[in-house]
Amino acid sequence: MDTLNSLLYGFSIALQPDNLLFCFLGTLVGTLVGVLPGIGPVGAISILLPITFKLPSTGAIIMLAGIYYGVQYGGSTTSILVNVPGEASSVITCIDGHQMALRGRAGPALGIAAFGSFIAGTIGVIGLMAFAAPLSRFALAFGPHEYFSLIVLGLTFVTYLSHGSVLMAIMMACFGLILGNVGLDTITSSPRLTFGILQLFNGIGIAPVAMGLFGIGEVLVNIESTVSSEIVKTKIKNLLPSKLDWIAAKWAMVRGTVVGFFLGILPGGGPVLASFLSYGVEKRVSKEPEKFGKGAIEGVASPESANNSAAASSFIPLLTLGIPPTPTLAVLFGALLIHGITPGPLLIQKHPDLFWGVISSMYIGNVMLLVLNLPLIPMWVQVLKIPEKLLYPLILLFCLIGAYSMNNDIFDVFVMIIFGVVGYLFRKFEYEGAPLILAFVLGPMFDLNLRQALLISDGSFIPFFTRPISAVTLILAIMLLIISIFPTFFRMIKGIKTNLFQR
Amino acid sequence: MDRRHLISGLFWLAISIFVGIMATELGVGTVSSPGSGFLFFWSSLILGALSVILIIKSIFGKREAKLLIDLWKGLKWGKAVLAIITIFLYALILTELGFILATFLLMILLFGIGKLKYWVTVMSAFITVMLSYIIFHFLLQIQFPRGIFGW
Repeated sequence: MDTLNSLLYGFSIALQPDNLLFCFLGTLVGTLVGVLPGIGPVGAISILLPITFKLPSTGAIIMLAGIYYGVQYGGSTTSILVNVPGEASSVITCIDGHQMALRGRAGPALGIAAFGSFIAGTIGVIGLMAFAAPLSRFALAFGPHEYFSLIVLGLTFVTYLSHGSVLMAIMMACFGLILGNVGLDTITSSPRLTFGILQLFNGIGIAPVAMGLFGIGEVLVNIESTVSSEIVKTKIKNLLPSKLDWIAAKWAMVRGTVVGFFLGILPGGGPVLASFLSYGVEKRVSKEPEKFGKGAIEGVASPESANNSAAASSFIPLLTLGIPPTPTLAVLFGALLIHGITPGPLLIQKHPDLFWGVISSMYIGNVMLLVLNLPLIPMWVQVLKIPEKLLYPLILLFCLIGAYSMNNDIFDVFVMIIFGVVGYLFRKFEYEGAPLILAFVLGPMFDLNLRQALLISDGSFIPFFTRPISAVTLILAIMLLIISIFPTFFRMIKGIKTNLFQR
Repeated sequence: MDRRHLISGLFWLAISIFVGIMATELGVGTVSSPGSGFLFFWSSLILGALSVILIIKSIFGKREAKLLIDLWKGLKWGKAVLAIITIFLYALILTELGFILATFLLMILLFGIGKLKYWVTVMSAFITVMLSYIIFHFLLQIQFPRGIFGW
């Protein structure tokens, strides 16, 4: 009953005209970002972050959240029509989605993707509502040991799930921790690695770093690419899936929703992992696994449901524990801090308007996205035809304006450009930005909680393993590290031995 | 030998040594009383150790030898370099020339990288500057530098 009253309160905030507008703008931009390959949700939220400074906190977060889950809807359009994923969590949709389009079934593919996203997204929000408040109360018992261990688990997960080398991902996490702690020490107030630069006393801004790494870096890689994509030339008809399509896809949507929801809560999980795993699960349980890869509607319904469900549930650790589980939400975490809101167990108590307003807006946003992504598909197809020669300069300009507008200081622009070059080089040298940005955002919390925990325990590490929550999360993190490092380590030793003997 | 990882490994080793030195100057403290440099020290130590492993792996590992130049083979890397230089110059001249003029020049150069027709480049740059000024300055109240011409 309490939850219902709170939800109604949330709707009273979300249905205010200005918040409705922000929700619409967020979902519209999110869909646009999802449709357009080249800029992902991290880049989009980073680029738009400075603009939200002028908005009220609740409206700003509603808009940024709208972008985050809106992207999951839009990504499927370009995956199905162009065979190029709009963003990472739609990669797997390319496999069967594009095959359906080539067989003249683009409409049902787009339709089931949109409906699956809507149903899963709505269920995800219900789950968020159900779990968030109890988890917040539970998290009030967390101390520095628990927070430190959770952050370690989150960073370990992200490195474990990295596409490339785990070794290099851990290196990026270490570098991110270093970068994140540049500025004044929260305990002693002494400047750390500021080199006398005044603008660094408050630390390096999250927005210039994220815009640089994921916005500028991505654009630079795309500018030099010689690959161009072609839209499937087929008339898109019958967007409403048939009865047979629904029968074929219904259990795939249910499984995708469940898989996505639980993976979204895990630090390091999120929509990308959810979409890949749910496809794997679907193929494994299917009675006709051979049809996957050739236009199976389950191959579209499952990952699209999973990524939307995960997008909703990933707000649980962010809002209740103050730990962003994905790089995109790490930037959103930064946005909350910039607006003077500290996510964590006390968020619901201190800012009930923001918490319930955002949750209610997610219900509304899912409805808006269904409308945006079905009848307006022809509009998005036209958007896909915007020449890249016009698009990328505009994105660069957006980034430059965004970076400058944060503090009206050209220093932030230079920081962004530097990280843009870094992001570009990362792609060349196979480093990933995700562990870096997550460690960057969590760095100050990591440092503070570690030092507080050690001060409390007088330097002893035993309490990390005697306090139950801390013990479980740390042991899980250590196991993950061992699983990820040991095979690599043994392969490396084997490679070195072979090479030495050959010489 | 994987030159790519060798070079990056050496780079990160240098960074870790530098940060480690800075950390000791800040004061690492003890485990029971960690100092300002505590996290920096241990992070740089781990980063340094992993860099050494990466360097060893790149020298002795099985990976096919690649030249650094292969990273840019077949790509229009000149465009990326031009774009970086352009936005860097923009940052240098923005406060001097003001938003309108600096952005107009920026867009001419960026659209020019895409080799659009001259009149399309100029028109697109003009429209972009006007629209962005209206949206960001008037609607979103962002204060742009005016520069020496007062624009």
